[in-house]
Amino acid sequence: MTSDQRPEPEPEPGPTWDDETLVRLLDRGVADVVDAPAPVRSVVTDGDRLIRRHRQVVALCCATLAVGGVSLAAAFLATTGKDVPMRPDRDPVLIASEPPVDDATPTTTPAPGPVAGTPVDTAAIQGSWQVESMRDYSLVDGRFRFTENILEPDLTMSFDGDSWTAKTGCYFESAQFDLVDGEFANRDPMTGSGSACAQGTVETDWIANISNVMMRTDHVTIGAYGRLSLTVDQMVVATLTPAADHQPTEPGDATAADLVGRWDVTIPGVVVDGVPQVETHDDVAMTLEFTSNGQFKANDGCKNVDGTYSVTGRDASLRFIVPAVGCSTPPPPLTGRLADVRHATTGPHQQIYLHASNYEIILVLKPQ
Amino acid sequence: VRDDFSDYMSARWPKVVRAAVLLGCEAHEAEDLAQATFTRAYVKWSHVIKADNRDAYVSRMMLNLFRSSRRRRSGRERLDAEVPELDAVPSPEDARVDSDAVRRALSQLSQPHREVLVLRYYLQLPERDIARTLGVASGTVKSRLSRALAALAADPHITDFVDRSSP
Repeated sequence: MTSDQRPEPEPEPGPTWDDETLVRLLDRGVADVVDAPAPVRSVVTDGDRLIRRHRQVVALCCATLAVGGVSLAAAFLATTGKDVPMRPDRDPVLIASEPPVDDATPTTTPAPGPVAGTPVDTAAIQGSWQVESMRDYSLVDGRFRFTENILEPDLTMSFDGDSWTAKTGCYFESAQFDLVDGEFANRDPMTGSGSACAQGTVETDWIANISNVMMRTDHVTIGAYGRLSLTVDQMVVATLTPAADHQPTEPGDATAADLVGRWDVTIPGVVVDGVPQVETHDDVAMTLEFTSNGQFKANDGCKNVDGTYSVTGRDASLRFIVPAVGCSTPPPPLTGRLADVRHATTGPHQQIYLHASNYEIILVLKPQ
Repeated sequence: VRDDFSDYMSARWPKVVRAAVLLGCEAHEAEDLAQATFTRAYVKWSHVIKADNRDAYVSRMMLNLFRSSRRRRSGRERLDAEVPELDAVPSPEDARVDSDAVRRALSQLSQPHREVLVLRYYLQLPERDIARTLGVASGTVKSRLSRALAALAADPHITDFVDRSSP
C-alpha cells in the first residue's frame, strides 16, 4: 500500500460520536458564560500604544546603531592611521532589523542532524517495538517529503528473522529486509491488509505513513535506552522503543567476558543526548574488579566490598550481591548503585556502562 | 482598517472568550486573554488579513498567549480551572450542570488533548489549520483527537450528555 495517491483523509471523529454531537457538547461546556460586549475601543487604544512603543524602540535601536557605527569607524581610522576610501555604492546603510518573530509562527520540527547511535544488524532488532514517533510523509509544494513528527501513533513494529511487520488495529504491512552494519533495505515489495478491515482513517493513515517510512529507511541505529532510530539520508524518520512485553537484545550488550578485569569507576550525573555527564569525586579513586568466576571487588574510596555478580540471558542482566559494610565517612554512592545495576552495555573507548532497570546509566567503567 | 478590525473583533469576541474558558481559564481570565489576543491581532492586523484562515491565525495567537500565561503561573497555581463538584442529584435539564460536567471532563484531559478538542470542535478549525496552529503534523492532530475522544468517552457524565442529546 502506498499513500502517495491517497487523498488527505478526513479527521476521525471517534467510534460513535459524530461531529455535530461533539460541537454541541463543547457548546454546552460554555453555555453558562455570560456575553460581555467586545471592548473594541480599549483594544484599539492598547494596540496603538503597542505600535507606538514598537516604533520608538526601533528608532532608538537605529540611533544606537548609527552612533555605534560612527564610533567604530572613528576608532578603526584612529588605529590604522589610514584613510579608507568609501565606495559611493557601499556607504554604510542602516538596514532595518528583521521584523519581530510572528507570535503565530510555530517552530517545532527539529532540523535533521547527525544521528547518534550504534549501527545494528538483523539479530539485534528482533522482537516487538512500539513506534514512538515517525515523520509525516506528505505532499509539500508539489513534492512528497518527510515533514513533522507524528507523536505516539498507536503502531507496533515487530522484527522476526528477516521480516518486519507494522500493525495498528486490524491493519498490517509486512516485508522482508536486509540489515547489515546498520544499512537497511527492503528485499521484496510489501504485502499488507490493504483496505479490507473497517477501521478508522487514523489507523489507515498511520499504516500508510509507516509503510512510507519503512520503504525509504536506509539506516537503523540503536541509541540510549535501547531506542531504535530509522533514518533516511541521516534524518531520523522514526524512533522505536522496546515494546512492554519484550526486552530486545542490544548490540552493545556486554558479556561476562567483557566485564572481567579491573576498572576505574565514575558516577554519571544526568544523561544528555544519551551521553552521561560525569560527576567528579576529587581525591576518590573508585575501582571495580570482576573475576571470571563471578566474584567482584569494589573500592569506593572508603571501604572495600567483596561480592558476587551474575550475568544472565542475552541482555546481559546483571545482579550484584553486595554485603552490608559499615563506613564512617559518607562515601560516593558506589555500593548503593551496584545494587541497582541490572544491565551492562559497551560504550565508546572500551568503556562499560552499567544501567539500572530503566536503562539509565548509573556507573561508567573505564579500563585501568 | 479600524472598521475591519472592529467588525471582526465584535463578531469573534464571544467565541474567543468561550474557547479560553474551555481551555481552562476562569471567566475573568478568559476576557483578559481575549483582550490580549485582539490587541496583538490589531497590532499585526496587516498579517491577519493576509492569512488563509483569519480565525486560525487569531486562534494561534490566543493559544500562544494562553500557554505563556500558564507558564508564568506554573508552580504557583493550578493549571486547570477549578470546577465545583456536581450536585448529588443534578437535573438533566440544568445547563449549568452540563457546563460544569463538560469543563470538568476537559480538565481531566492532558493540555495537548484539550487544545486539539477545543480547536476542532469548538472553534471548528479544519484539521490542517489545527496542525499549523499547534505546530504538529496532521497525523498528530488525528492521534490526539482520537485519544482525547477516547478519554471523554470514559467519562459517564459526557456519555450521558451525548446519549441525551443524540437525535
